[in-house]
Amino acid sequence: MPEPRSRGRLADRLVVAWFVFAFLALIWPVCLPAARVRPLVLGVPFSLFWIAALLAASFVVLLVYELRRGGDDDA
Amino acid sequence: MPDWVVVLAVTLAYLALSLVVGLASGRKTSAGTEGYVAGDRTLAFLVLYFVLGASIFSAFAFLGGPGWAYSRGASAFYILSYGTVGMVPWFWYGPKVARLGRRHGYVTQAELFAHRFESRGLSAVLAVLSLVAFVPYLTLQMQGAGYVFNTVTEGRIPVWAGAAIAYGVVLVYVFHSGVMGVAWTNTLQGVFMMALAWILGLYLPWKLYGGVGPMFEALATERPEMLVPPGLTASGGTWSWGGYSSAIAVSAIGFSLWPHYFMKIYTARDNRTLRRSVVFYPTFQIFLIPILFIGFAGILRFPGVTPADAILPTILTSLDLPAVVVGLFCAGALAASMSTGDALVHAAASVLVRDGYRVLFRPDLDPVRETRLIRILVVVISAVAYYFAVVSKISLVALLLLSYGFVAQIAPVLLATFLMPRASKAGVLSGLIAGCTVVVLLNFRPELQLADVHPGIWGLGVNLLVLALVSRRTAPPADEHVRKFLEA
Repeated sequence: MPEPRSRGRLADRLVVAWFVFAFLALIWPVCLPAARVRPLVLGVPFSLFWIAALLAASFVVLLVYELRRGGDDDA
Repeated sequence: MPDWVVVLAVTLAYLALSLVVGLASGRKTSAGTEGYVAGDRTLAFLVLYFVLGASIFSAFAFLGGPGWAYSRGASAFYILSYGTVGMVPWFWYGPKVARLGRRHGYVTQAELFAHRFESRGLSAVLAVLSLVAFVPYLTLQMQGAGYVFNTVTEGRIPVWAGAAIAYGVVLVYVFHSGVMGVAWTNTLQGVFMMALAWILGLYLPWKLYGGVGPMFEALATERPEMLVPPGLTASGGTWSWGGYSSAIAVSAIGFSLWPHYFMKIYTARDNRTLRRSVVFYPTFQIFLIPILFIGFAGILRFPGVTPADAILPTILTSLDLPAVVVGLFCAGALAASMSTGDALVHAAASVLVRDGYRVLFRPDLDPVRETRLIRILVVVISAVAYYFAVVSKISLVALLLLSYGFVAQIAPVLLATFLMPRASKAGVLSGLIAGCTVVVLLNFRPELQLADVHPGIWGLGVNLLVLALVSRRTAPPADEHVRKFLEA
């Protein structure tokens, strides 16, 4: 079992890695596979769905990270 | 009663409500600068959430967003894209900045950087940079407000009078209540904007096509090029990937660094409030999707509307909607303009006094006199922006293009503050000046922009390089001083 501190550090890295990916996935060249109209997903073109999905996933990632870190660091 | 009178009555009712909320909200703060500029560091989650949402979404988002989608198709996705990641850095550096703010009494962005690098020059440069970025942006908000009035009254109220009415209200509540006036009116305006965006963004495709799905199905068949990034340029050609991607990158990097925005870190009640406002920010940001639906709804049914920003008023007036509904839309557009404009007026005055005048000429200025001076500057800056918005023939659009590139140049200063112990005063200052110079040069000589990449990106490269090179050759601040920031 990893120590809580190293688990925390791993979570930090995973969250940072997610946001680096999310940023790259919005721009050339990573976004190229998503730059198309079809399939329409939930009624919107795939290109728009891709951005909305990244936004929604980023919200969930940060929410889970914030809820799991617990406590407060006000000093 | 003619429709335009009903529309005007609804719009004025909204303005009256904004004024009442703005005036009432300033009663509990202290008399000094900390109360007027940072709200005594007491803002709770919900208010901060709306401040972060409403002060970044301006008249551009409400009128320009549909305009972009209508005329440039998927290029408008860049507006949605940069906000997806732009706010996230606050989650990590926001609590550090807030903690240092509480410890050292900062209320502006430049105070943190000037303290870290022990440089009055840095404070002055940032004050000038903020002003150059703010005034054209504010001017645009005023023009947006004047345009709304002019449209709703079918030309009976000219643009100059409309801008004066809306920004007269802003001036009164910002003058009286400072940041608390900005915060509570932003809450009201934010609720308004979100509600209207979702209602209009879903209603218009339903009314014109039978739903969002059928609308995009029709577009995918008849105008598929409008739905594929990078979309079109203003002149109708295909936008380059370099232009599209670098616009997202430079806006995402600068997003959380706009000085009027950054200052709101100091208003948070505690770090948890700050972090949770960042976490929930996407729930506000996503309202841009229905905003874009409005523009897409116009492409097939209302071809040839010019200027493109008029697409929303054009659709609304052609659908024979009840006058009250049109009035609510106008109030929503005013809310978008005012919720950004008020934060800009307040921040510009605070920065000029706190980071310019006080640092350079009157370090002993007491908080009550300082607040009085900020209030005077609120009036002066509003008057200057109003002059450029409706009187002067000089266009500030070129400055607006510069401002996004300029704001991104603050990113290396932030990095140096928290992550680069070797960074020196000379390093950050020369990097900042070099980066801004590149932005200016490339804006005036666009043919030098390689692969259509935004000048701000080239500026950032030069900025970081100069920062690193100069810092290697000059003495950094003392270790003990630097640790206060690195370990905050």
